[in-house]
Amino acid sequence: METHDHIPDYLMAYLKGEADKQQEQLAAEWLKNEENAEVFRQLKKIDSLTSDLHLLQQFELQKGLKQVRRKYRASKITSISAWVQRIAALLFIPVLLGGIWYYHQQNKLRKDLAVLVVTQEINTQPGTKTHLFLPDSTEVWLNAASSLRFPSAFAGNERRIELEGEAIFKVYKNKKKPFIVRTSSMDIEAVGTEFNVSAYSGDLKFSTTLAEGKVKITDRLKSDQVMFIDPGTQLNYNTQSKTYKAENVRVQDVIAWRDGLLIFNETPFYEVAAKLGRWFNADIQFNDQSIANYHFTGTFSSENLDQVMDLLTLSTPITYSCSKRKIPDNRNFSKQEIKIWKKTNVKTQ
Amino acid sequence: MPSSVLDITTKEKQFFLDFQRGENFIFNYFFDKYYQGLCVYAFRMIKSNSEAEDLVQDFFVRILENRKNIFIDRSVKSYFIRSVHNRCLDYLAHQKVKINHEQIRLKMLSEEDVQEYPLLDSELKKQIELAIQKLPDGIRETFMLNRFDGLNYQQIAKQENVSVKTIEYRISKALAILRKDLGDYLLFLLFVSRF
Repeated sequence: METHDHIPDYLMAYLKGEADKQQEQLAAEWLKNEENAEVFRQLKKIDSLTSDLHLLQQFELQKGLKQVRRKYRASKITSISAWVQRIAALLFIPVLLGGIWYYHQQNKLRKDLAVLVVTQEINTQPGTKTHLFLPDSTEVWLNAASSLRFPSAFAGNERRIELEGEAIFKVYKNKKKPFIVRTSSMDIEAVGTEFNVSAYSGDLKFSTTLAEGKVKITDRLKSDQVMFIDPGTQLNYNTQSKTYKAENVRVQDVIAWRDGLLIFNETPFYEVAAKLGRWFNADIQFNDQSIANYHFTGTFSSENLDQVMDLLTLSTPITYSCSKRKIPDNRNFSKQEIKIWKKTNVKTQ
Repeated sequence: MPSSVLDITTKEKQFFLDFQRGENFIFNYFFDKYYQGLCVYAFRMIKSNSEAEDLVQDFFVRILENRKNIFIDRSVKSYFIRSVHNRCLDYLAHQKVKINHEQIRLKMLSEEDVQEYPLLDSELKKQIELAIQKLPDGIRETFMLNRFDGLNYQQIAKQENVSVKTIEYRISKALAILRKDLGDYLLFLLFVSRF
């Protein structure tokens, strides 16, 4: 058996990508042998890894760690109030199913990676978000109080997942396998693109917002109702009237939740209340239904719920009251209850 | 498949869970192991030293900030590579003008890409350095001048007062020996990100 102690010239040239026609032919001939091909793969790796060695030295580990610590401290100071607020919610994040199905899956994967497909479900609690990659490399940010179901591997000729709630998808391009997000009322199909889907059951509005690429939306009840949207467009579905309406929006505002920002732009109050409720794990109710139709414009980043409510009372004619969060025995935090009233004008003398 | 492969992936996933539960010191394990390799990765994509450093640092800051909100599906290494890769894509997208001619290469990583990519982490670096120490004298010097000091064949030939052909021979010899020495370890590397 060949020991591969020596690498012929033509192979070195091929490895460096500098081979001429004749060398290329020789290399191709040599690589036909499977064992040789494996040797070549390893050689390429060694070559690449050792070439990285001198680059590696340019990045100082200790300096890097110091800078990360400094940046982290800086970000903590600016967001400390939000952090304190949210930690209550974070405390009860179930450690996402990780352990259980992982061992399950690991054992099964050992037997056969390709055949066995299990469905996984990820849930986020109110006040929390999750970042993950699907098996096809699609990047997902799952917003608060949402749930995502997906298979451990995408077999077949499509990639189908189910969403309840809100998520941003950065879809890995694969023309042969369309990526389909199923919600309770529609299927959203993309090839390679970035888009946000908001489909919380109970919401008046389901919306799909496209950042780039193209998506196709099919109504699940009327499968002949097919719509396409372009970047910068938001397609809204009214869950009561069951009608669709396209709107131009600022995509950056729609996906800002990914970076911890809540942006409202002439947003109706019932929508503001629903979003804040999920964001802060609170239950916000109106004492007077006419409040639901007020509009609000503003951005929140690191404010806690009290600060947000105070800001709302400044810019709209409302007052509010809130209950203290109770900590029950099962360590789950109860929702904070907030009631909003119309502000009554106090007459001054 | 060597069982230790699964062990590393499993071990790191467990470490990450512990870190998410509040074991802060574990952050240093991940940082020490992957920081420099990820910087090199980002550097190869965005071609700027300081921006690469910045981008990888921001990624680690995000890990600290959002530790509870991360779900590791396959392996920690795979999560790290993909995250840094997509951050690089975003960075490049904001620099549109410069990248038009390179656009073909700008895509998200496929599963195969992640599996095939040999990320130089600190463990691997240690193994490689040990193997390099064991190379025959002349070959080792030449190889180190080329890989650690970044000198090209001409420069080394001049310095060592030999022909470029000789340098080529020594480098190829070094690669062949290293491959034999590290073969098992590399096979193992192929599997690391598969789960």
